[in-house]
Amino acid sequence: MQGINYTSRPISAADIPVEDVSRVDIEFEQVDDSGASFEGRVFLNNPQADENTEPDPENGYAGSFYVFGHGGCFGDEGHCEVDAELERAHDPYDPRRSHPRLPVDKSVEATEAVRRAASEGGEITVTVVPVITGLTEQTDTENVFKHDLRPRIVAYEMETA
Amino acid sequence: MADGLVLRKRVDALSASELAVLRNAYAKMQAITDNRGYNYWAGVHGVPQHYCWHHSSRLPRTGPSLNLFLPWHRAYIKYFELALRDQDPNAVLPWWRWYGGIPAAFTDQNVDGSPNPLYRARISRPNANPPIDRNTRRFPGQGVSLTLPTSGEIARLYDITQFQQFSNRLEDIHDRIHGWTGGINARGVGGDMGVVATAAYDPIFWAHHCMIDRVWYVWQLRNGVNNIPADYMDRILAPFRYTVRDVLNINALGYEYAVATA
Repeated sequence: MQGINYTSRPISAADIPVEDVSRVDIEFEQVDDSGASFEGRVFLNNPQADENTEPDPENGYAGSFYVFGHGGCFGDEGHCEVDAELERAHDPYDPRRSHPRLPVDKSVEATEAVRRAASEGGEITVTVVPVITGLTEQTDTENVFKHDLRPRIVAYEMETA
Repeated sequence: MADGLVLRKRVDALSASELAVLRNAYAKMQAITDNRGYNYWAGVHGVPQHYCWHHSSRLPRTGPSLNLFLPWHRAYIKYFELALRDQDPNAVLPWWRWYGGIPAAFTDQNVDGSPNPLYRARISRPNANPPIDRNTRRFPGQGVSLTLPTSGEIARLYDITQFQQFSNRLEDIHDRIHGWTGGINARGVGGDMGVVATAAYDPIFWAHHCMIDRVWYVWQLRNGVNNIPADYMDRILAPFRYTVRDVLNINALGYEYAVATA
């Protein structure tokens, strides 16, 4: 069972510093975890990938992240709606935690996949295929991604022994 | 055990009498409908109280982005264990060593002619919307292309020295195990472990999180008990009477693990 893919805007390969780095991560923001649980399979330059696409380098597979979703809303109307303006407003007299349905951050380590894609030059797109791993009668298993995931490719220069 | 610490053991290492004690405590908790009971404590995690911490997020109301996944669940299972021991003072939470699938202690439907309280529990939430009133469901490995982690995969986590990176990697594996354990049956019905809302009602949830806690403990042995960002220390782990600082040393919480390697 698969939801609708997310595909990023093209990222210029020239902007990706993969020389002399030992680890490259792809970081995602605004991943919705309010609904179904899912595996996010990350593919580079393969927007047509789906749950049947073999997760191997030839298909641009870069790695997976996993989301333990809340399973939809079991409260009254509005219970799971996040008021972004309220969340942004920092009130020093409000000790409550942030809304537990705020979108979350996820990342995958994708060193070789990014190196391979960057070496080909041109532009890179990041596609995430959401393969459903948990659901309830309250979940929408199609529209898993509610926001732009704003993928960021982050390269680390690390000492090696 | 020395200093009154309780020893949390691997599920498969429990003696027959230790397992009987655990079952007795679970059964008693499941029969109680007030705030000493199983439904109350399961409801702290998801429906209806939603206190649990998972993943890190932006737009925080009370400061920078943070992820209290590990310390919050350490506090949570400690409180659950206390409630369990209120029912049988010899009961101790065991940990589920994931690599061999679900232990028989949690898959036997009946024991000595009675329903096994480790196999399933009743979810009774008449005020949820929609209401929930049924037994827990579990379809391990069905309808999902997930696998349980290998011991090598867990061992590699111990080489990570930075807390947030370790926590995020372990949580990713945790999320995967929830999906595998819940599963989705042929009619498209999801198992309860697969989503936050109902996961803690499945009796295996507590052994799963005991293992998560143990992996963090082993990591702490290698990388430092207080290896956590300074701005985490005084965060309150609501609704429990602990801050992050309070839960870093498991001996100070009154327990220990039998084996210190994965």
